[in-house]
Amino acid sequence: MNCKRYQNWIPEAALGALGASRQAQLDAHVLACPACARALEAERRLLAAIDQGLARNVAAQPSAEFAARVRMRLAEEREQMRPSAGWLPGRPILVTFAALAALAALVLAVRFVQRAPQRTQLTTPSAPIRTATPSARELATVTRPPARALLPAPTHRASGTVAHGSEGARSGRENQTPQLQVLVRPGQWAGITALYRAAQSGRVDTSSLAERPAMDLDPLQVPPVEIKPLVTAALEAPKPLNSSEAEDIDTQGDKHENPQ
Amino acid sequence: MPQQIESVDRALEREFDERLADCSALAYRVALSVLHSPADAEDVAQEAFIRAYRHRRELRDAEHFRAWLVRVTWRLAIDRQRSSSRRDRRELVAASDLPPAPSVEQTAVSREFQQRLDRAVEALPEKLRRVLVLAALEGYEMRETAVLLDLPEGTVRSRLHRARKILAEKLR
Repeated sequence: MNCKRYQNWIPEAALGALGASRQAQLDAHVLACPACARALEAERRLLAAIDQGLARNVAAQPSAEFAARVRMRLAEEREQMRPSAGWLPGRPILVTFAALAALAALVLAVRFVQRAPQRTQLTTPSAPIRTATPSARELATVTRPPARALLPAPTHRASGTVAHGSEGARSGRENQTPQLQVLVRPGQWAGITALYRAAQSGRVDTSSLAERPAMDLDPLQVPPVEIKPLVTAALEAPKPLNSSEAEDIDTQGDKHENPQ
Repeated sequence: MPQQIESVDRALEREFDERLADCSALAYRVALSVLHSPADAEDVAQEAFIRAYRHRRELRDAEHFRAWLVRVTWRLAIDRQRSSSRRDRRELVAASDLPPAPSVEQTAVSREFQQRLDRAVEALPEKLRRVLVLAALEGYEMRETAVLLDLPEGTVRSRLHRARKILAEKLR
């Protein structure tokens, strides 16, 4: 009797996976072979023990407090999922307001920093910026005459209104410098016009003014302004400015700054 | 409209409460079969229910909920088993807490045999182990196990056979 062959079939037979033909041969064999019958029975008991051991492992019950603990955790979860959890009623509005205020302060600070150098260029070195500026009627807006030799430096008037010097003259980049606008009182404009004409006609020597060094001064340090009496013997009483004269000056200034 | 939303929310809460009552033991057993520690198993099962609650809208179907819960519990238990050093100091389920075994198998299902069996099950490839445990949970009902695992019934049957064969070879 070839028991070895049947013993190889026993595990599969115990699992119920042996083919029908082999199962029939094994059944016939174990009827006549007590050793193989015992081996098959042992294998079946082993598998039954395994299944029972597995079943015992999965037959346990959670503790009595398990469901209560899960419900407690679920209550916490619901609190966290609630949109307004942890917020006071007016809190979002306060936070929004604070955020907007901070943003506004930042924008103002940035604009102040960006404007500061420009303001310094327009007023330096003559005088601090006026806060109480003359009314619109008192001021006349003119385009700065182009001649670097004529008005190279700012001139500070007694009234505090600023007639600015030439940024282009200092930097030597007249062609790239856009026209600057300065505000003067109408009465002062007559003197400036007279000075301009005198310089044009050669009656006033402006070379010394033109050769003055560029004022690379600290914007925070305002040097004293020297106001020398202007000798204009031939200058007659100033006449009020008419519009044609202003246009004439503007045109000449344009030609000077745009040589082409 | 707000009343409708509220009623849907209430229905979801009520359904989830029913699922919790029905499936607590299932989630716990799945976790326990991996971790062999009642405390760890309860922690994992609890975490699985919290996750299920977050997805309660998509898990309204009872069968789908059950299968989802089993898969998530299994994954969480495996993660904890791998990452935790508690594996070494696990507390085996006390034999006194278990239901009495039939007298015929009393010798086989001894504490020592149970420990050997647990070690052999842990050594199984995960896909075989999962089928073995869930089949045991479902009373070896292939169709139920296949639904839980979202696998074809033939695959479940084949894997279960291989798993039992390996265990028998190790414990013989």
